[in-house]
Amino acid sequence: MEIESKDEVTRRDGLAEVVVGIISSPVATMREVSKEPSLRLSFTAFILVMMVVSMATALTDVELTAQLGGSAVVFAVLMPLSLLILVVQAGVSFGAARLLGARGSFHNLLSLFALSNLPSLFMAPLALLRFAPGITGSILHGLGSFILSIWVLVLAVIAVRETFQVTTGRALLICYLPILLLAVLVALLAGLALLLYI
Amino acid sequence: MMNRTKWLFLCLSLLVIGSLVLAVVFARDWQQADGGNIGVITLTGPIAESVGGSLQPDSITPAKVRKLLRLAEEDTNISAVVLRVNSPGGSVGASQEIGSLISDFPRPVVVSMADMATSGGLYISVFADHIVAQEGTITGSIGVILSHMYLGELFEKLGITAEILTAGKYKGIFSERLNPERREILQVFLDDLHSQFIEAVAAGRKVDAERVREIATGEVFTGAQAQALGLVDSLGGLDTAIEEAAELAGVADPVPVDIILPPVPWWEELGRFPSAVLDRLTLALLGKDALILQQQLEKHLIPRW
Repeated sequence: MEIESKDEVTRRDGLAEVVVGIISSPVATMREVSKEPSLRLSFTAFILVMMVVSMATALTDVELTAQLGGSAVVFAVLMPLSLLILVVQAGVSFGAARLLGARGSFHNLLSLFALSNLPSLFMAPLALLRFAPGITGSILHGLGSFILSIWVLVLAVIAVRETFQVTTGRALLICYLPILLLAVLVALLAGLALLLYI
Repeated sequence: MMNRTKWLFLCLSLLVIGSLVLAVVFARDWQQADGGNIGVITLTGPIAESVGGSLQPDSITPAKVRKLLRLAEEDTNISAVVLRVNSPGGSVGASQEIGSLISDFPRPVVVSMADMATSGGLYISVFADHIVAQEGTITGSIGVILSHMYLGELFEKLGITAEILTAGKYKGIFSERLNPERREILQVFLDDLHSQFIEAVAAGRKVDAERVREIATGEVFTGAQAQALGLVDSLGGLDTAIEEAAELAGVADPVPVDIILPPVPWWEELGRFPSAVLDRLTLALLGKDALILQQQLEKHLIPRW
């Protein structure tokens, strides 16, 4: 996957600059942020994004909200849970990077991983497509969600690349190896659970 | 550059906040806010007090009907309810409870009979204000059935000796072979349930009880026959039932709204997983016969309409 970076450097002044920078020129912004990573700023941005996503989900996806246990659960449980998942994700990727011989700062990675979720802000306008009549709205919403997911994944790869100063291919491996291992672990646990019931 | 950045951030913020505000507006009731909705509740399956295992068909339970009617009642935009009934009947107690729930519902209720609304399915329908059935709907079967299985010989084959101790002359009536005396006791019991069914149909359909007794032989009728007998009001499908409900509620342009139970939270789904696995393992290891026996045992001793 080729990711082009812009020459211009975005000066990091605050939330506005970082948010706009991540969305418009992610590589330059991440490079700038990684020089002086601020967990406070990154987590603030992350929490704002998660609040927007939670609200958009609770308002537009009644079924999913009910399955998750109601709006109260969506806000009260998923918010801290998403922070935990972020830290675990960063931790696992950091571990994978070290296993592959890469050197970098966990603080840096965590900060950039938090910022890589910023495109999820577009979940708010995207969620409105659920109200469109017929199947077109659902299809467009699905497509839009998929594009946003890819966007976030690409930013995560850039985050890893900028943190560990590795190639894009290596950064991809660092990002996906933990997920593959987790999938294998889940499959093993499921198999074990089935054996126990027999 | 900084001004441009701030401007872009402002636009992004407005887009996000604006979207959320619109979502709040749209998330409110889409349908008519003037009480012009007709709630449609689908009731499919046998009537039972509780839901069976994962391999059993979905049941119509009093708890489910209570929740659905409550959802309809809480929605002030719903002026009347159509119950789409497709049921071969089921347990007497559960049918009576559901009948009470329908009878107590404060707004007009119309039943739309689907393929089948026999026995308990008919019982719960008679509490509605109006019944619509297709010409070919199967209905009727006003009667009671009780299955009694004597398992003594099965236990003998399995080498099990069961000794039953009772206090009360007829306490073990369901555990032993039926003799003429026990058979008579059970028949009196069933006759009483039959009378309860007949009285409910007579009251609900405003027909003379003796007339209902004449047709309460357990035979089934088509929708057309049922209309001639006074068990059904009109012939037609769901649309007819919706129009009828709208007329009863005084609604000019009815908008049908499906009333469904919200999905169960993920932890309840997860909680069902072990029993579902066990059901499937039972089926795989013991075979279909074991499952059929289990289902028969569950129906054993419970009188059914």
